[in-house]
Amino acid sequence: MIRHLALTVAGIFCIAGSAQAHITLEQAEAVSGKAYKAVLRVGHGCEGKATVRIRVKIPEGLLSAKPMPKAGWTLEKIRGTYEKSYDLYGKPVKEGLTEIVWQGGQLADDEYDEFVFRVTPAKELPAATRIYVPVVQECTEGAVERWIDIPAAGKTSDDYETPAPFFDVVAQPRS
Amino acid sequence: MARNFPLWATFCLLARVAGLFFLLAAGADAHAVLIASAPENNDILTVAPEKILLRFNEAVRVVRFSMVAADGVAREISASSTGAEIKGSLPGPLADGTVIVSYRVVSEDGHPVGGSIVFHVGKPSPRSSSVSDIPSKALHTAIWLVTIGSTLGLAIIVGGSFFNCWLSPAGARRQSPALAAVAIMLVLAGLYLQGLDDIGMGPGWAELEPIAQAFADKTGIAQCLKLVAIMLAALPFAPRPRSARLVSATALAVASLAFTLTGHSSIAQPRFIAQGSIFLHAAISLFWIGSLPPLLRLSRSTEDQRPLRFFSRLIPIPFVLMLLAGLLLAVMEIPRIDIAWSSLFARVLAFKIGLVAVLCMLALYNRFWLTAPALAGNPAARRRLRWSIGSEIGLALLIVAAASLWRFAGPEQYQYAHAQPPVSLHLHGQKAMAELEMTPQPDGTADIRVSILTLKFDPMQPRSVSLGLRNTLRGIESLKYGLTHAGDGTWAAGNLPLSDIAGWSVDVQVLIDDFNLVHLEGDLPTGTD
Repeated sequence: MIRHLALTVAGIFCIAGSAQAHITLEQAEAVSGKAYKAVLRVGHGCEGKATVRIRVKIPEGLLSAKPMPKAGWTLEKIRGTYEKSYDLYGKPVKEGLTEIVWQGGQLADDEYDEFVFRVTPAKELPAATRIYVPVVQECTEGAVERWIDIPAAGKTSDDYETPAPFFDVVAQPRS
Repeated sequence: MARNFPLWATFCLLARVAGLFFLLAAGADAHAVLIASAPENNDILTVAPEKILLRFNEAVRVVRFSMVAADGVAREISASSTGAEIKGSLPGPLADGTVIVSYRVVSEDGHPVGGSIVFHVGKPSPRSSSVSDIPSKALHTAIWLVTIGSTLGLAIIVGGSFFNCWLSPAGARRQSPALAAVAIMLVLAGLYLQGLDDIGMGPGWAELEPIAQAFADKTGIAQCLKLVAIMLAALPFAPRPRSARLVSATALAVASLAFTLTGHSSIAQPRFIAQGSIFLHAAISLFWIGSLPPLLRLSRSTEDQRPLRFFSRLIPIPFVLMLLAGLLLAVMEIPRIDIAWSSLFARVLAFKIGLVAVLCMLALYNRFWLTAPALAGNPAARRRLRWSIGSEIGLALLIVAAASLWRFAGPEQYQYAHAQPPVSLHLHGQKAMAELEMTPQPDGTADIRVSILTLKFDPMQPRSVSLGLRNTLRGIESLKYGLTHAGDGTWAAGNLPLSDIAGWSVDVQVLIDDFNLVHLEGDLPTGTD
């Protein structure tokens, strides 16, 4: 009973602890080989300054990335070659978007907004892989917040001030 | 118990659901960010602030608010927060030096945020301000010579007058007015030169500003006391022997008091013991040095030998007292110089102890082998006694010269004595390595230099390098420094508030490109390891 209570209390603290409202991804899990809608939640600017630019690095293994256009912001799509060739619906893919940039808008520090793109985690990614999506947030007066910390072995994202948003790739359910 | 289980399970489930709601509610909040502070980070303040103000981007609750002052003692700060602002009253008066204020606050989303503000009270670090190093060397030599001269003058006039009044029943010989005038000039010159040093000038004329500066601390008062003592001893205030004795004793006391006001021994703890020891040490030293010229004169002539006999009988007691007081002072200082015997303070101390040892041997030889035959009229013994007193005068000069050097082993020298040797640290990461070298500075700060290397030991050119410092041992929250790229390919920062290296952990953050950051973390080794 006491153990149960302790677990519950720990659970509450765990959940509360992770709610840091850095730049995060709304969906914590993606199915490998299926499209994943990545919703980046931007809860604040850089030390009180308004956000004017969001740059997202598409990490290796996320294929056919497509940003969702956003009113008031212009998009920049940077293409590149992947390190490896991946199988996407039976065809080999070797290149695609490697960086997405939203700019030209203005998101005040006391406002909230979401930036959306879609990717497909490659089937080759082993199940239970945690994918980190580094994001650079640029603000007025040249201020920058880099949400690019990827935890070292033995650490979690909570140990860092500016952790990269992440999600877990899970295996396709057998049908 | 077992019957209650479903109830507990329900409660726990509800609690989990509540936790989930907490998550959802908190998800949209921002964590608190420090937007401004007064004093600001890295401010150099001439006057110690009484309050510190922190402004965050949203309402916060204070969990911990503490500071580490220049003396290295950590204290809690009482804080009052009104929404996004925190006011803290700093305990006063703050000593000059670097102050680290650490805060840990919780924002609305329950996420704790910690950080530190560093500011400096007093003059900017001596290293950065002493652009003119060469003129100050000339000034320091001048101060040294003037201090030797004025101290010897003071001893000969005040100590000599005490000897004449108390040990020469035949009556006091007046000190020569010329000597008194020279001593007064030297004391005044010392005051002016000290003031020049305080305002950071070389030798020269700066109107009355140096004098005002010298009176800003106790130096001015000390020099005035010396002037009073010289005048008391040299002017014919009291014609009758009895009152002359009182005046000469007063002069000696006033002169000794002057020494307790200045010098770093006077601030050793416990203070009244330190100052009492200085008073005793100074009084007996002045008397002893002042006695030497009249003794030399007495040993030459065949006039009344009673003073010599008195002195010879009397001197062992004050002499031992003087040695004990000096020893006590040295012992009180030693904990502060235990690390670097290479410091100026320690070297002067060692030299002075050596001189005093020679002096003791000479005094013993005088007292037990020479005085009795000399008083009996043995010419060889009298010649040797003269030679011996002459040597004592020489030794006294050297001892005063050595003690005057302590003036330059000031507070910065202490910290130099405290400072650990440079420490170096190798940090290893998955994508990069860092060679870190931290050099403690005399002013209690440290400079850091970092070379970033690839895993194959090739130099690397990262976009930027920053340094995070944290000291859990002393409750100091993380301090962040951007390192600047030095010409030789290393990354450097100065004025880090690390007077004591123990307990600090470093986090070198290497930004390789826009999206790649490497953390290289480690603990600073303590200097003695």
